[in-house]
Amino acid sequence: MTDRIASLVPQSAMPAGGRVYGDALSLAVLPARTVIALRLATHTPKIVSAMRIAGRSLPETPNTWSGDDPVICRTAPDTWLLLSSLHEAAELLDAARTGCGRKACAITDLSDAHVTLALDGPRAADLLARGCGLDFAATAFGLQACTRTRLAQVPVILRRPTNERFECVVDRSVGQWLFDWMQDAAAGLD
Amino acid sequence: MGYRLEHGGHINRSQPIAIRWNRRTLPAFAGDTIASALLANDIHIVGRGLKFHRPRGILCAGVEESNGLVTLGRGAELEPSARATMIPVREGLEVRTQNAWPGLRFDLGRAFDYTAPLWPAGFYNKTFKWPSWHFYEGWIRRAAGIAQPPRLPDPARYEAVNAQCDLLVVGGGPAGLQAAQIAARAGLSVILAEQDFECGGQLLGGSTLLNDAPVVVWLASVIGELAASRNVTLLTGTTAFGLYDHGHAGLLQRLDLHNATRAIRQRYWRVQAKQTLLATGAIEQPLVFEHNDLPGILLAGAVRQYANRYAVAVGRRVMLATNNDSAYLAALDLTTAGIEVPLLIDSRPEVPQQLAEALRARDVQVSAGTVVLKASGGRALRRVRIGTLDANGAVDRTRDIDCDALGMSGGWAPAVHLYSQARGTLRYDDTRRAFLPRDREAPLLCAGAVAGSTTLGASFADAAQAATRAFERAGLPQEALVRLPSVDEPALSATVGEFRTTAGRSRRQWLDFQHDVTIADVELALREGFTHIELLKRYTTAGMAVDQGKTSNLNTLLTVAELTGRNPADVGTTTHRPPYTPVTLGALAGRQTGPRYAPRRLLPAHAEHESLGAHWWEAGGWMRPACYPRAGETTQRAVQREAAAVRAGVGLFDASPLGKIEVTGADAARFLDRFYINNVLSLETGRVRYGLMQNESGVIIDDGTIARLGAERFVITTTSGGATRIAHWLEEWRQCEWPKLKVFVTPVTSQWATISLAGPRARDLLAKVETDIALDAAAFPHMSVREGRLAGVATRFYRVSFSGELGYEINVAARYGAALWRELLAAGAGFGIVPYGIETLLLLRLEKGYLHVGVDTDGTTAPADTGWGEVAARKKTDFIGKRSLRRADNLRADRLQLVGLAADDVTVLVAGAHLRLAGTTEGSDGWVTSAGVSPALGRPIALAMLRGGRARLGETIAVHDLGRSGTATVVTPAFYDPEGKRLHD
Repeated sequence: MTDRIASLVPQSAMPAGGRVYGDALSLAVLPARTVIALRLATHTPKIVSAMRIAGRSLPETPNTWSGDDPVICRTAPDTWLLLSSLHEAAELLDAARTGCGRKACAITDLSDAHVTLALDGPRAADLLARGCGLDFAATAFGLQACTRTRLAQVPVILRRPTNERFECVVDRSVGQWLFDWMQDAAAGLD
Repeated sequence: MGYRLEHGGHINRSQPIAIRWNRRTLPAFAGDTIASALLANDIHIVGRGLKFHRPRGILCAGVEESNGLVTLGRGAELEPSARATMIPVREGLEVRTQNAWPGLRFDLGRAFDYTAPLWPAGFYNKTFKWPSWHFYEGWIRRAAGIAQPPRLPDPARYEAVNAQCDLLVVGGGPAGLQAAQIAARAGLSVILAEQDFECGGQLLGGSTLLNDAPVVVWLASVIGELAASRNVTLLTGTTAFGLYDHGHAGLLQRLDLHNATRAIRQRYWRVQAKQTLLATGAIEQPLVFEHNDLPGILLAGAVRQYANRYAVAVGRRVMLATNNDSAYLAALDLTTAGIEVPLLIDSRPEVPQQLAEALRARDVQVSAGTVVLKASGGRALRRVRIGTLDANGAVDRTRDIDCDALGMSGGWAPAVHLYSQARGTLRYDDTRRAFLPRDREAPLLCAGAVAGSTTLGASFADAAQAATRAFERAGLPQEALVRLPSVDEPALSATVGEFRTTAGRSRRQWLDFQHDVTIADVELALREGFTHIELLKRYTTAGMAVDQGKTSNLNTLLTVAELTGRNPADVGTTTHRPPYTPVTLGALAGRQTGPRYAPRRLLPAHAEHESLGAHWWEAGGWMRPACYPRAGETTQRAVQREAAAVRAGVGLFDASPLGKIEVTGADAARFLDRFYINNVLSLETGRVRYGLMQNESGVIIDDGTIARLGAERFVITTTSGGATRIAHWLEEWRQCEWPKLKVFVTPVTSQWATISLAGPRARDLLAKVETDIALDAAAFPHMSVREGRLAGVATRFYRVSFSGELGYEINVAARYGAALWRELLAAGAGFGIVPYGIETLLLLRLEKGYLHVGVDTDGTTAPADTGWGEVAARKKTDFIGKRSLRRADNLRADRLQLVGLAADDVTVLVAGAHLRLAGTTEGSDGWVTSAGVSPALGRPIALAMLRGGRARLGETIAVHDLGRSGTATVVTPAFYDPEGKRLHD
């Protein structure tokens, strides 16, 4: 007989790690991050520009991101995603609730629902082009850009922190499959 | 007698290459194609015709090749019907003939040629009627194939790549290269696609000087500049095979042309182009005369290209026959290369004086108003009979010319395929006897021969104009940035003469070389009333072969026009459809094969299931354990064992894929109430209710539970496969129909691991877990939900059941899923716990008669058909599809209704089996939707949709499945514990 089950041990969705393809590209599974979804019923420019979450303003243009930690992505007219490596979910949830005050909103912890994959290097955009129809030219998808799209059929949120780096937030259940796909595509790069 | 010229060509003589041709080894040079290597080695017969198996030789030097279809490689890497003119040689390349048996030189199929009158167009429609078409079909289909597909899975890798550009230039000939250079210098991002393995197009096959230097100087300069430009993607070996709406283009890049072992064999480029510029050139057309299909008869432009590009003479004594000026240039180049050209005949009454004089100065006779009447020579050309026409076009006098090759030119058809695909309209040009783009700037930009230009100078000027237009449209109003090359070329007339003579046997005059369609076939089709060009095409199959009529469509429609006395413009062309050239299926599939066919979702406790020996099912995109067979146990036995263990003790199930959607906000209850036939408004906090969802038509689309966590907080569950779809469904109504409702929809499926415990000992097991939630039946009754802490982590704890037993669904953050599974399994050892899979769960729910939406229901099933009609009718508030439920059709008594079936014979009671009135053998009264052997009852049971089923309880009905028959009794769809006592214990 086993003793009473008193505590559960957490386990990450994917082991952190990565693959390097010379100077051209490296792929990485980033350590688990806090992901909070914030949805606002009313999101006029005036309301959005006045809002602060943990002292930071929200990006006012859809499909852009701002901040370093938390990174805040506006992924739809009424939706912002808060990504953080430094803050626990409870902290950010509180900060978001404080920031929203009495506004009608939904604040949801989705930290366990996602994993983040990173692509680094001059060929990162080329790899994405093998599974995504978006234009990743700097003029079309610049440094402030983020978007919800599909990569290799998988719904993802893409963000471009630097010219040669993309971060891909993806549902945890399909993260391993997508990472395998990325490695397969990387092996086929000329 | 083909042979290699001692000098010239764009081949690399310092790089010899050997290829295998059937059982022979042939020497070649880098830069050769298979076709040029064959001709250089005096191999003229390269294949056999489809129908009559006549010997056929190389006809062309490019993409339009009709005869030179060969099989490359063998085994899994076999590639059938490759165009010998497009494949560059590489060391060890294995090339074989196809469609000939027992061999190329002696083919038994030639018997069809000797009995040709028996096999006219459409013979199979008229002949094979008795006893039935199907009696002959297999043989016909075998005979109609021209090659064998590989029998083994293709080991090669393919991929798709998306690309965007300001300007897509199709064609890397003079016009395409020039336009790309100008556009790129102006700052446009350019993709240039050239189907040949080298850029240059007609420049490579000609001898004109550019800027007083050989073309290679200009080519090297432009290609070098383009290749070095960051805003240019230069793709050779790449065919733009289709243009689609909104500037979308499909390109197929062959990466294996020079190296068969590359990681990626072919790449499918999905290009999104803001503008597209066609520089696709023109395709030379054959002349039509008796035996115009003999090996040794090639297009004049091809003869010229083999001499100039590949340094190959296609014969020792080459005659030329033409109806336009271009063949004169071929004759001049052949004589320059030292090849004997005894005669050039021109069907036009007037010949171009300057060119004719130049030829005569080289001892080439030029004869005006003269046509080929007949070629002869058995397996290869030996002699040509020519005839001089009188003023009425009748043959005046004839003479025979000995020659071993004939270059023919029947005019040039602009390659307008992509222009047409883009919905560009064509105009017929009577002078050129060809169809041209009606507008060279819309819907696409056109430059060079495709736009009707006949000289290089005109092509360069076109290119400059089109490229300038492109960057002006892009808002870059700059001057032309390139000085066009100076071209020293003779003036050419655009006038094209007759392409055929009416003399000779029409049954021996070929229009379509690849499908063996002759003038006689067109005559027959017209006699039988197929006068519309689209009907005639299908009846004769002209233009329907692998080459899609690149050398036959124009001549066929001109023949129809002539024979019916109509203007070619009125006859019109057949429709140009993608693909321009055949596309490998593998390239379209790209990476989407094998494990990468579709995304596979893994459970948080995937590794735990793997270590327990799970037998995996892919369901709704998830990899799910179907069951956990023990050593030596079949999956069927495992399912029976697991199901029995759940009923007797306790089972553990990973229900994480269950769709979970949070619905919050002041109007959340009102919002959800509009989606379910069940009442949501009356649901109390902490309680769970089953919910059935239908669409506007009153058809069931999903089911699940609705849990109320607070006044304004709900979590609904959906079927695993419906999680994304239902979230979208809710969002669509929220955003489009009820934007004023204060409600938020947040899918959280992957945020939570859901581990399910079921069985009479489930509560006993949970007593071994630290939790602040009271578990006794009174405090936590069936269909309830609690939030609290369990084993130190936050949980959403449900008491629900899909198995019919006391059941709990424990939701914890996904990171704890594996640990929870492990700990419960270990803690349950004393209770005889078993892990059970989805197949077992489906059997347990079958015993209970619970609905499996999408399996027991289809696109016509309404709630009332499954026994939920009363609930829907009782509900006072409005909900999606409510009105549809009152449609007369929904109220019919003879609708398909869900019933249970019980039988003694397991072999018949299977999903998909049809139900009939006992004693009948015709028609269908419904079908079995789910079936299995109940471990609790020890007999086969099933759910079925039966016409008027609920009124037929107790009836014995006939069950038929794939030729087997049996009987079953109609019962209520609840086989086990129909009162539900076990749920509430």
